[in-house]
Amino acid sequence: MAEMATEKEKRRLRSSQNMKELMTRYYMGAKMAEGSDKKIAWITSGGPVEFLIAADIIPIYPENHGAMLGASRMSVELCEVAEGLGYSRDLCSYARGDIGSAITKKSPIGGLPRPDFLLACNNICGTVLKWYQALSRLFNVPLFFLDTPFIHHRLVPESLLYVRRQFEEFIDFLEVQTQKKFNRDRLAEVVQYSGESAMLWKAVLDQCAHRPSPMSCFDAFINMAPIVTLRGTKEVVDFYRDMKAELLERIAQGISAVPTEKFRLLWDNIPIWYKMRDLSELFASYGACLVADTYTNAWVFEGMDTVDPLDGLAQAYTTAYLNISIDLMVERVLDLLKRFSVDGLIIHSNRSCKPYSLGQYDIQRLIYEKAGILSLVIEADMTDARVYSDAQVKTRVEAFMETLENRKFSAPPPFPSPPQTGERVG
Amino acid sequence: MKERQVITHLKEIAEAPYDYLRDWKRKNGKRILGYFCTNTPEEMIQAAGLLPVRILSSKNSISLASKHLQSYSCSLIQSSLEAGLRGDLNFLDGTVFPHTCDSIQRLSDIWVENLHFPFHWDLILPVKLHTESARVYLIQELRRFRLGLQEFMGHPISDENLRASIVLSNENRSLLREFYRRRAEHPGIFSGSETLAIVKTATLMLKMEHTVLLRILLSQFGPRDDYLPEGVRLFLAGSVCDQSQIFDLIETCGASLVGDDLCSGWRYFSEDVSEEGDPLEALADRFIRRVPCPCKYNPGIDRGEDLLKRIAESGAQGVIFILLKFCDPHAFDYPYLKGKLEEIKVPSLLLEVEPGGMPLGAMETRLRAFIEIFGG
Repeated sequence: MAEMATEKEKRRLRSSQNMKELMTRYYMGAKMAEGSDKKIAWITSGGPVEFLIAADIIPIYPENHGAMLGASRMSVELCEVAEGLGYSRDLCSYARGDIGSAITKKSPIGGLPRPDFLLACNNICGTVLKWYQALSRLFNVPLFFLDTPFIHHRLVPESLLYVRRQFEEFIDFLEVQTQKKFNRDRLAEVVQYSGESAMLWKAVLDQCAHRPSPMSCFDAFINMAPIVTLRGTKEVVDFYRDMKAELLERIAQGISAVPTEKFRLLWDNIPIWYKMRDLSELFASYGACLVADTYTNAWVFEGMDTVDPLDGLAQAYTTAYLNISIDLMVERVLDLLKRFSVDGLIIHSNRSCKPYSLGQYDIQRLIYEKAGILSLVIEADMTDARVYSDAQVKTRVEAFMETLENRKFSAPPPFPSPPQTGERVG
Repeated sequence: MKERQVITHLKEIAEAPYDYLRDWKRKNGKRILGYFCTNTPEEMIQAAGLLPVRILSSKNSISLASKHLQSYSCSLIQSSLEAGLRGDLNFLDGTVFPHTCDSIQRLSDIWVENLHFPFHWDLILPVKLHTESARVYLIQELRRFRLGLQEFMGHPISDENLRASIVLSNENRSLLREFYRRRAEHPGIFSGSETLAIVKTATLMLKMEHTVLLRILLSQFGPRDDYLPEGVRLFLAGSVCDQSQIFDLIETCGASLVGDDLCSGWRYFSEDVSEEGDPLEALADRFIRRVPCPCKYNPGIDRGEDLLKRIAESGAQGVIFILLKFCDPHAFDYPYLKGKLEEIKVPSLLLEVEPGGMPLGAMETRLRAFIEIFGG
């Protein structure tokens, strides 16, 4: 037993502890700021936080808080509060949980500090508009809505101009909110940190290309909080620089996320926050490591290093993963499959997130046709545990791993038939 | 033609729109473009010489579409894809997807991967409507659409064509509004399903033909023998409702429908396009002026206030929210709108339309209980 404990200890990332401290400081600071002169803005996870940081405003991410509610299994209770107000159970569980928490002040951190204003950017979904409208009414605070036109097949240059003009409007909005002149030099500096931390985040994730992988996407899910909430600050640059060093060290020492890595898998969609440990252990029991995912890669913002920071930001925020059509998503998935030498795909069909989930069945087919890679669809929800079936997921994962096993170790590999209706394995 | 014949004719088309369109195409040899959502500028499609046709739900049960769409997508997108995959829409020469909700956006991706119509267009409308930058972007997007249509048709769409098309649509819209006004005064004259047929066929037929029929209906408008008795006056709020059984059921339970704010009803014809100035800008401005649907953001116009105003004007005593299950934008607005109604003490009932079937029995029980509130 003692041996097992050490074994586990060895695999635990030092960075995760640093991350917890970083996030605790951040939330403490934010809670302390409530009611002070310091402004607080609630922002969507794909929003251009750089402007807020440059204006010395504390950004608060209900989505990160939502993940926290899910992981601490408080989400269902809070969703029910929102449902009691008439919000349908079919709506996004982050939004329901957040509305429930805003009303009851319940959460692992005692609720989020009250916003002075809101910033919603629809590069992740249309739901954020509705959610933030509801918040705007609830708190009676102004909402700035940033509209990033969706990219069907190719980026239309007019979209970038439109987004860029909205940044100018947002700066005007910020000047009204803060009663201060916006400092563009400071923005350039923040954008530089942001770009740098995105590249370091990419470098962290890229270490998983090593076989065996020094961490899994479950570690990435936990350690993504700083890139989501605090990018644009020096602390985040330092944090990911350390994390990258830790991973390199692990590779040098031969420490892997999964003891004997036999399979390398890719995760699609937002994590199932209340089942992170179970799923991580379940896959590890088959020697399977989730080496990459489409979710954490969404914060690898590229193209920020432009002469005019507004151009770079327009490019980075408009081309977000959930703001592109499925043919473009397939290209990005194929790139991940190749870079991380992936054997199979785990697709979380997430009831809460239509822009992420609708189209997955076609993505599954296209990936099979283009790369011969098999996938498993798990029907669940990111934080609403009421729709999750343990037994079903276990059985399906087992069947999928068997298929992969047969495929990997029998020669020649059997040619699987395409998926049948209702059966999403393979 | 007599009023009753017109109604019978329109109901036949509304009941089997795809048969009608297939037949129409054979006779006229013209191209047909399908579209989703009333934010599509049908005037532009008309001006290009195509017949614009709104794709609404179909009655088939869902089987083929379930290989592409999760069970938690709404009936509109599931049944539209089902119709496409079954080949029911083969008379179409193309489809236009205006940017509305997350589901329509992904339906467009799935559509283009699996159905191969000669023309596919994503009209990436802004979500925000109240700023100058959004207006500039919108005009550019409409210009891009115009170029796309021109290329497909192989001839230019002149401003004259566009203006003439706007006049045709405005005329039809103003008659539909007049029809709704009179119906609110005498709700028994046309039943809900007849009203549905009248509006629905406006989105399926050549405007000129439909306008002629509307004029006949309006000229003969008046009390008649089989006049339905006036019941509790109800207003329908929601997105699309293409199920005539629901309208029939509401009336069977003792209510009269006196107005709606449905996309498949009032919202289709509520706002005209200016016939002055640059026609493309006029199309943009109609879109901006509209009461925003829940997919759009215009803080200058409050949907809730508008709903209250329309309810007051219609003299409705209660409201039925008819929402598609899994329609996020409408479901998000529902608590707010319901709250608004509670403030003015107007009772409301929520009915959800599920993909692939109508639980009419359960609906009837709830409807009867609701209508009893009014002592009807």
